[in-house]
Amino acid sequence: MTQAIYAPEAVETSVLVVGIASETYGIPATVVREVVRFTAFTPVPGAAASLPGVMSRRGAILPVADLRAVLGLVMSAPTRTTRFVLCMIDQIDVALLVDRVEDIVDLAGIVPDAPPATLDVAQLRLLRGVARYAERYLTLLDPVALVGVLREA
Amino acid sequence: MIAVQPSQTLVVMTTATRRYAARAADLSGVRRVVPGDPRYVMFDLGALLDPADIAQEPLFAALIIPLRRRNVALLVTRVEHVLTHLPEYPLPALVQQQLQQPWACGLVQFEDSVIVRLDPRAVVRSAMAQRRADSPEAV
Repeated sequence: MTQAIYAPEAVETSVLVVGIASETYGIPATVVREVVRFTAFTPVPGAAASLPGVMSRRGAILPVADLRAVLGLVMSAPTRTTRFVLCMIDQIDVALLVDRVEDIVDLAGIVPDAPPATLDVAQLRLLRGVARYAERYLTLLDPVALVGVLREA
Repeated sequence: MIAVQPSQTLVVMTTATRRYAARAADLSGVRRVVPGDPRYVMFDLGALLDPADIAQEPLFAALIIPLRRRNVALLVTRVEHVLTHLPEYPLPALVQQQLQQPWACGLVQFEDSVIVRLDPRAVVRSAMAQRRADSPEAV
């Protein structure tokens, strides 16, 4: 089994704060193209739970990645706050399904702490660390690692 | 969005809650069948692909897929259209690479939505394998 190695470094200036189940995550703003309201997407029968379907947006067909499934979090039906975060990561367009989008915050110069050691290795791979911001903790997603995990799902 | 395949004749059908497409060339026909007709091994297509997609009423429309000894009838709620000139697209690579069942083989732009193009033979292979596993004496 590959051991996750935590190498702290300052994070990108801005991150998009999203809620997934009861957790709060940060996605580097540099990979975010657009945030759109949830609309029913096209489920693909036989697809992996982490990549349940596709959506059409402005003439492009994007894979939908369900971050709840990727992170092993509680799945729930879409609500009024459910959003797609459209990203380009490692030359791949993908629509990340999240439970809510909260804000864009500036984390310039903040060096994140290591993610909790209690997380399993699969989850640790997806995280850059935990940043303390405005009296709360923000778990920072590593988008490139996320696409890597989606490729292996 | 780039159409990568020339359009072929496509059959567009609905199940209880979904809409799918299949190439007419992948079928031996579209027929109305009588439940229990011994000439066919019948499956509810919607329920095969999604356990939550269950027909509430008897199904009579069927896509016919020939096997070596018998024909399989994939039952659907309705065959909506037989069309040409629909733009077809491949599945996004991420989705394609992670398919757990090989049932979807492309996408079709139909009206305002994108629908999944099925590989009916792959669906039938899975259904027959499941049937053999469930009741070995039935096949």
